[in-house]
Amino acid sequence: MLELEGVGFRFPRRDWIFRGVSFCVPPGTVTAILGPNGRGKTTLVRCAAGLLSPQEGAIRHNGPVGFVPQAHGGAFAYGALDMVVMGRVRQVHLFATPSTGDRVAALDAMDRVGIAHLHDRQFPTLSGGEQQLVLIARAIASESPVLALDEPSSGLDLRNQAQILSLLRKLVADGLAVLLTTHHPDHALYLAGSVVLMGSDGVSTGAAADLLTDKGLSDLYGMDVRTVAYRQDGTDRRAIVTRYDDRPAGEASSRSSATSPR
Amino acid sequence: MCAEILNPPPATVHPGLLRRRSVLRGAAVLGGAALLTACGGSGSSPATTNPRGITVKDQRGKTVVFDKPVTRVVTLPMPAASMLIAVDQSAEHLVGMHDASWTAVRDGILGTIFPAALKVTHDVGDQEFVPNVESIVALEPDVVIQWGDRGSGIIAPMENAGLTVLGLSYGTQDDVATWTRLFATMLDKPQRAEAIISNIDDQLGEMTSLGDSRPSTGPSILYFFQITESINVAGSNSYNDSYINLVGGTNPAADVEGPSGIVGVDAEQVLAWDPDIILIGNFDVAMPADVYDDPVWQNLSAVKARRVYKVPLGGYRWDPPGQESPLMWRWLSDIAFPAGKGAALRSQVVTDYQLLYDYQPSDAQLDMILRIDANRESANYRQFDAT
Amino acid sequence: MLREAEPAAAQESGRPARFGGSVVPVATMAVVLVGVTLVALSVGRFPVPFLHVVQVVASHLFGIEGSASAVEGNVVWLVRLPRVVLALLVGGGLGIAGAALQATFRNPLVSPEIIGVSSGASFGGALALLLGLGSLFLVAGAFVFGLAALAILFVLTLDRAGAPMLMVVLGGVVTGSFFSALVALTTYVADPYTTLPAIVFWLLGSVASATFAKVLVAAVPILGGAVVLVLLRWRINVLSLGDEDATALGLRPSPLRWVVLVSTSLIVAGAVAVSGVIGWVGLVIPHLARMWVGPDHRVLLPVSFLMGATYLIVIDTLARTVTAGEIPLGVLTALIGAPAFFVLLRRNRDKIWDSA
Repeated sequence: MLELEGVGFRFPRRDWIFRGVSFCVPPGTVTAILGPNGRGKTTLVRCAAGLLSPQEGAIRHNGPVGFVPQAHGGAFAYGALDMVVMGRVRQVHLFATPSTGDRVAALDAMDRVGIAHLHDRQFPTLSGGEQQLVLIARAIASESPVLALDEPSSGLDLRNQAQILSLLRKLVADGLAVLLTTHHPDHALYLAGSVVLMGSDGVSTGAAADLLTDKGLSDLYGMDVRTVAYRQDGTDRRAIVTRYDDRPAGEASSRSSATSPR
Repeated sequence: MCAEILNPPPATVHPGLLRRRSVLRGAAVLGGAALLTACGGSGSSPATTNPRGITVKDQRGKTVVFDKPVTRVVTLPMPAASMLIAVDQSAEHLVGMHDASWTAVRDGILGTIFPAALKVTHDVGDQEFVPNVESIVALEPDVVIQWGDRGSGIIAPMENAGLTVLGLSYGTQDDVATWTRLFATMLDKPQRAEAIISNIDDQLGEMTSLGDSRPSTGPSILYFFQITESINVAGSNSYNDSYINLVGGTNPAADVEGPSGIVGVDAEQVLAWDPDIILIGNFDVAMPADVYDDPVWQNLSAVKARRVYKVPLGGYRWDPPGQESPLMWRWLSDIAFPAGKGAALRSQVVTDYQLLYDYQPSDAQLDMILRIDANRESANYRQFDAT
Repeated sequence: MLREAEPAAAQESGRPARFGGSVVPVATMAVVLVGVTLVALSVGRFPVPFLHVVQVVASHLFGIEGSASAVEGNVVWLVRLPRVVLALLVGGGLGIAGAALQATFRNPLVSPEIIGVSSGASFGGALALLLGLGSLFLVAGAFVFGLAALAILFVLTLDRAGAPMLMVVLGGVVTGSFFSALVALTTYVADPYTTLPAIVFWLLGSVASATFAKVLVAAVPILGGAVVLVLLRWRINVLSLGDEDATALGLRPSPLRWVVLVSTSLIVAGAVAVSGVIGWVGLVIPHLARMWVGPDHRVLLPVSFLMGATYLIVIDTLARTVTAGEIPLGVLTALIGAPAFFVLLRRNRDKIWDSA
């Protein structure tokens, strides 16, 4: 369970990035944060994960939030298992090193995300998708009931993206609460029960079915966005069809400025 | 007459020590750079007087003509101030000196003999002997004495400012004779040069024949340039090595070469050498008692025989070459080969001070110069007590 | 609460040898260090038979009388042993301090000199030498100004949101330059015939003037700091991930970082006080150790200490035995360390930079 109430954040001596953001991520659900670049998605998920302190509002959670950053190399070539074990820092005494129990928990977590076979590989030598999985395993190893992920599928190929999405769906089915930012409305359509839209005219929250409409998405990104319905494995789904703008530059910019005044 | 100690100093440069050497070079050169090559009158005359004025040739080979005897002199090389005062028997023609020269005057007996020297300006250059041209010009000197063997960078700025500069070298007894002649000539006191130099030559001859008469293997004598924080001793090529040999001693560090003759060694190396006599120079604060009390040195022959001595400090430090060097030779000779008779050195100091400074030191001053207090616990030092 | 059934297969195969095997490199290095120490005690300009070396040590430690002469006893116990132990402490301290700093700054090219503590400590020591104060003040001065450099760095990077790494490194450069200028000023005003040579020799770096008093003075801060670092060894792993990751995992990076920085400052100040600035050890040794045992600080920190100790004992033994004249230690560490480091960088640059 993760709950934000009236949260507002701004960097010192700057304008508010967002204010009055309220939403709730119950266990077993996914909330996705969507919006164009620069609207504060990452800032919001960092606030939710406790990495930034909002100037106003309250954030409640029923346990530590496991934050999964975007994959990055790091200065030192630790082993994958060493990386995952570091998720146990809350459970390890200040002067101690991880116990056998901590290592078992880390291996459990790697097994759950399907990368147990990578345990003795060096983290920087892994592919981007594998690194992302290691970081997710690390958050799981910390026994956090809430996962906050910052663009977990960015920089990954299609297969790796699908793998991450399936994994998140499986983790949610096990009872985790998941908050994530994404640039892919498709991923939100697939995963999220609720969404947080961070557009040019403020933040709106609500059920995915209500907000991720053609109009809602078109307004959010300032362009024509259509969704199409299809059926897969007996489930009705929707997917994005991007309208590529091939008109001359002048007309395109007038359309853009009509819906997204800056 | 001194062919056996006349050796050209090898130009050795230790590559790893260049930076250190550049900072140390003032001290190291002073501590004893080259060989004792005093050959008295055999050196070429650096100056001649003619009716049109005074002509001197400095050690760079540059010739300078003065219309009349100089009356305002600025000295930058540290030993130059006391040597000029000795030649002049007065401080009245010295209008500026290096700060390190001034502290030596203040801390030694020269300030007592010539109180006027304490009032002389001493902000004429920095520790690397880079001249403070404006403050020197303000002193309106007739001549500035500067190092002549350390590049033109410390001379050119002064010559560009219209100052007359004499460039000097240092490190051997020969240089002492050259400086003495040069100073005497420009002050128009040539008889002073002859008096001082012939005194040095006489005593050198006396010490040489004394040394020759002694057994070929005298006591081993180790000179410590520094002993407290780091251990630096006089190796071959050092001035100290030359007077150790002069009096008939042997230098255990003779097979060690350093860029300036002074070389850093390990305590263990000193223990391996096991010198019979230890000299503690004036460039370290240590006294014989510090060596006697240090457990590391307990088994040294010099400590067991209590033959550790602090080098005296007179009108100038006795370790490097200078106008008082004959006294150092005599002192070391008495230390190395104690005859048991008293007062010979004391009376020689009185005689030489009369010649050099026209001054009669008191018994208390002689005790201070010879460091009777510091050396009281050392063997054979009572021979220098006042009678 | 999130636990599934234990994945037995992953458990069996997933017990990497490194967890159990971390003892091996530490033990190996410890044995090497003991061996090197014994060799260093046995060689020198004053010949002492190995048997007599053992007898001297045994007689002091256990009161067993041997046939070694008194002068041999002095050579081994009062000259060589303090010097070897001091080299051990200084080398080990600089090695572990360098490794901890590289982790803290997440930059494998950081060394104790980078954060300005070495310069601060040098100034403190040079000032004590300039004023002609005793060795106690030399130590105290190095401590005070080493920690002052740290305090200046702290004020410079003080920020509610936590000091970004770049600011800390820049702050270290600024503090270091400032104190280097003060050291230069010290040598400028020093008497060129008395205090300057002492300051210059001390700045060059040497353990030649070792005594048991100095060993004691160095041991307290160096071992104290090293013990704290070794205790925090796994926390330092987490810290080396960066502030964001560490915070996300539940570790407050700022207090831990300052504990590490104060510990390394203590070590560096202790080392500088007794031996001047000995460069390169803090940079080269952690690299060598990392190439051997990997980046895990649980192993890397103790191995860096043992390896640094071994390295400096070897270098110092060369310095005092190769020629009758003493070769300054700082010169040797740079002469040997820099080319060795160059070769290793060339050979391993992919390994180092790909993981950066």
